[in-house]
Amino acid sequence: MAGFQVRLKADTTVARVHHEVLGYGLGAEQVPAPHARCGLQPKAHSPKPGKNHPVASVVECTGERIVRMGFLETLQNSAFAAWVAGAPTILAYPTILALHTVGLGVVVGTNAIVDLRLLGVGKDVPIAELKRVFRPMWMGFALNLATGVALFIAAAEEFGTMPLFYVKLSLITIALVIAGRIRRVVFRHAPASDACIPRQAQILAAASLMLWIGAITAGRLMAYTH
Amino acid sequence: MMPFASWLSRTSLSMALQGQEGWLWPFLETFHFIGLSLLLGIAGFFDLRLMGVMKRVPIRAVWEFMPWAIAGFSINLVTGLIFLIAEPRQYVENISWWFKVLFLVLAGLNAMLFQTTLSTRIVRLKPGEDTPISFKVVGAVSLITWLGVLYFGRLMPFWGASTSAGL
Repeated sequence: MAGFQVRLKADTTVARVHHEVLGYGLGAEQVPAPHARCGLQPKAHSPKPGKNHPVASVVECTGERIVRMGFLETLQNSAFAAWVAGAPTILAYPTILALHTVGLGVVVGTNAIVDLRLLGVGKDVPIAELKRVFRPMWMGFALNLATGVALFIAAAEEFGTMPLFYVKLSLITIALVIAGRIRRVVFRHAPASDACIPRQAQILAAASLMLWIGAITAGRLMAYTH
Repeated sequence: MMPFASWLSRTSLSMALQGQEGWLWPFLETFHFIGLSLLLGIAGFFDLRLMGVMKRVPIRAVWEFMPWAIAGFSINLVTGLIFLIAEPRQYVENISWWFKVLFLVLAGLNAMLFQTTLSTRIVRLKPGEDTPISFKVVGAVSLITWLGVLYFGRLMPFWGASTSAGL
């Protein structure tokens, strides 16, 4: 399979709608129809709404799964999802995706600054001053929470049933808890930590780097697991 | 560019890479995103400091992290070149990619300008002191151009991709 098709599967999951509507990028005939598995299209683009309603798939499901699928369907069939996925402007899906990547860079980059300092990089940097990177970090996280929710809603059935997505969320959650712990352990006694960084803090920093790398990996691999 | 791209795509190196795309692409993309995080997070933090944000953070301290931003850039240059060598046509036929390259060149020139003419003034700045206007301009240009690189990089599959490119 050639480059973009391999590379951009999840990035274009929702964008396939774009290709059909606008002819952006890849030819529509070359990519599978969106949401083909559940026979659903976002309402705005469905030529015959309800025609392919996944009664069959619901019949196969039971209990909790029906509820969950129903919820994901509702999300994905919302007007908001239709806008994100199909609005004929690069300000919708492509820009939300780009903002999600900006937030990723800010969150992981600022965490890397703290982690690297604790692991011995930039020893002249007063640790107390590093506390300030937490504000941009949380701003980046807020951006990614908002854009992430929008991207999720746009393809709720796809992502909501993807184990890798939950792996990614778990890694991020643990990484955030660790960031909070680092803040407590290190910065409460910052002046004392400058010369000698507590072993516990170094372990947390190493774990933090690993978790963020893991989260990025999971996020990227989501693009290849349809 | 097209003759060059066609020639490049027929080289043995390109063809060897094409044969490995199934695993190579997700593998390299993960590194490309890790590099992006180092570059944007660390260089972006430095840019904000140049612009006068977070004045209490000593600018020299942030400067010490810059080798890691350069490491991130290097990761992305190498992985990006591999993408390009493997699928030259899908990039040179893509308008977004050209915008990405344009912003990359602007960001590079801006960084070189800072490195050659302004960076020695960093040591003279006292903690808490406001940055000169030249620092603010360079910082703002850097931030905007790197965000431009990222934005158009992410836009590639959506805007300006040729249907025939590399498929």
